[in-house]
Amino acid sequence: MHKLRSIRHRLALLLALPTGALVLLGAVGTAAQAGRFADAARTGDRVALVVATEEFVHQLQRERGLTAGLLGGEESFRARLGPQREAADTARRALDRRLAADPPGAERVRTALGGLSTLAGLRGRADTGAADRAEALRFYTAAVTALNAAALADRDTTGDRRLADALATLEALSRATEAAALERGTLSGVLAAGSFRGGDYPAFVRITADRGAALAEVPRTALPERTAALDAALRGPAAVAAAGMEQQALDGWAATRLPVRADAWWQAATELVDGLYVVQSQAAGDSSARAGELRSQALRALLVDAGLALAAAVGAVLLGLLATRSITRPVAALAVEAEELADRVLPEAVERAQAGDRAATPGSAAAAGTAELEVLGAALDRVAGTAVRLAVEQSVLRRNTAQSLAGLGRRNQSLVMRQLGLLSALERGEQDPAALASLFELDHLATRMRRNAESLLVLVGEASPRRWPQPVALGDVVRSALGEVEDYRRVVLRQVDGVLVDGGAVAEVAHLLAELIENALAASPQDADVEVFARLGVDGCLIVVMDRGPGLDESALDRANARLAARESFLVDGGGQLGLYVVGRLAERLGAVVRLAPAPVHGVTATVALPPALLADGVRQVPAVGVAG
Amino acid sequence: MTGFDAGEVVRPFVITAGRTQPVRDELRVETLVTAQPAALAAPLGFERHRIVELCQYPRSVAELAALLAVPLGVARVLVADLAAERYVRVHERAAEDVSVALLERIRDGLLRL
Repeated sequence: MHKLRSIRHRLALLLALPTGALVLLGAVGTAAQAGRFADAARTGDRVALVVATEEFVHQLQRERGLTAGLLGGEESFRARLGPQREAADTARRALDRRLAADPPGAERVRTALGGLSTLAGLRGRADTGAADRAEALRFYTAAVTALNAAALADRDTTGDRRLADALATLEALSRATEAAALERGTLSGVLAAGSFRGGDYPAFVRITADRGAALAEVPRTALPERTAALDAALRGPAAVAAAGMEQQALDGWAATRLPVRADAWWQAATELVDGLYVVQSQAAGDSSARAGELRSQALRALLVDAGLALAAAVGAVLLGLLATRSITRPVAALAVEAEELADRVLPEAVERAQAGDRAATPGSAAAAGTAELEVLGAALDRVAGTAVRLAVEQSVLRRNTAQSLAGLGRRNQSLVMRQLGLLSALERGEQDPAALASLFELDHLATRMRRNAESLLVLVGEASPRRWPQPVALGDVVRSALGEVEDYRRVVLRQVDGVLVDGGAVAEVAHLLAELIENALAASPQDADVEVFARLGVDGCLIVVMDRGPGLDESALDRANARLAARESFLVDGGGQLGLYVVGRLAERLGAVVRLAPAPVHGVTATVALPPALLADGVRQVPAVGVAG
Repeated sequence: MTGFDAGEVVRPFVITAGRTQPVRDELRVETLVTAQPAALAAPLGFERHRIVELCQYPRSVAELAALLAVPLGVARVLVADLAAERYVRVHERAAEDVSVALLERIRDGLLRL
């Protein structure tokens, strides 16, 4: 679940549903278009099948006419019949290839083709003259009729009006052509025989009537140019001649010898049939063109739909990304600003405020875009403003506290100094050792009180007013420090080089050492000494205060050193060990470095490195050993 | 290290570690003290070394206290210690053969205290 914790993921989840729905809708629409495209493709295949079937039918019709003529006795047809059978077989093979792809309606066409299984036998009998003319006509006609019916059944699958019209035109024309061809075949046979026999005449009349009816149907659905072409074919010289011969045949129905030559009739009728077939082929072409058009329309629609669906999905994703960015970007910017505010701007402003700049205000965080984020930015600004105000108030409070403490410390110190001056005067003339001892006790107490007063001044950041105009020997500085601790008799000065300390720094160096020595004394057992060394080095002077206590472990030493290095005010720090804090402040002011480290055997060593600036060039004094006696 | 506003660097009680009773009692303000010849090379610190330096010719205790800027009681403890350790010699017969010059120095020393 934690993956959803970012705004980006939640927005993605939120947008996933509508985007998914959109994609689904697009997919459904595209699938419907794909279905229509498949329908259109099937229609195209079916129309192609119709065209192939009609071509085969056309060739069969010609073969029928020639066969009928031959069986009627017209031997001149025998030479033409061979190539015509070839043409029919070629058309049949083309149709079979078309059927192999199994387009819609293929089954019916195959069934209709079943009627032609005995074609080879019939051809053979026709060649030998064993077949009857009427039987041959029936055979061919049945096959042609079945094929026409199979090809043109169930013709409007797409609901497209123009395709339906084209197919209807094709059907009407195919019927007209069939009627014309049948008429040609029938009359060829009749003319070859010389006269109408048996049912020839009624059949012929019915055929002419069928042709007329089929031709009359054509203009209802045909395109104007097809109607015109049909008219042209029907009014052409061959058509007129054929119509004339036909009329002569009809008129001479009872004659024993019709005044029409069979080959002339064949010629004219064939031209008419071919003309009709040309129009029929054009109508078939119209159907194919329309089917192709429908197919490409469906393809276009499919592509458009798919493209739209894809564009919608991509658009939705892009919009989602944009929306996400439009939210996450300002939030991220605000987060960066807030971090900047917390890490840099606010601390700096607080620092400025504490340095006394009352007008300190942090920079504005309100850089966001949306209303909610602006509110958030404004709230951050207010937080920053409140923090700075609090810092200002606190710094004022701290300054006031420090000033009060400084005033107290100064008064306290001046009183103690006056007391010490008085004590010095009394001590100077005192002859009685016992009275002097009492004065010394008082002196020791007053000296320690002075150190306390000065600690207070150090804590509030004030300098000691005690300064000497001339340099002071380091040994005397150390002894000055000894006067400021309680149990100074336990301190041993092991080795103190004759270094002179600048008069202005004497009081503070002594104070620093006093604090360290007091810590060392507190840490040492009662019967152990605290040793002090002071050596002049290349880089200033090193003073070492070594105790014999149990020592400190590493973390305690780290804490103590941290307190030495502390920069915070003791008012903030909550002074547990004020002594170390005072040492740190003094060292900072003097430019000295104070470190606590484990002593060689046990205990703690405090090392003070006084910089050369604090030392005065002067006569090296004799090394001093011991405090007194 | 003399009487300046800031006072002494080293408080007097530190010099003797709080002792006020000299190891010998007969030292008076005018008692003369002289350093032993070998004492200059001895490992003495601070005021004890200064006393040996100052006592290359006879000095009174009052004079030493004034020059060291320490109370008279402290000077007596230091001188008594040094005498006990035989770094200085104390002139017992001070009262008999005091010169005028010596008396003047003692007076000056007392005035400076």
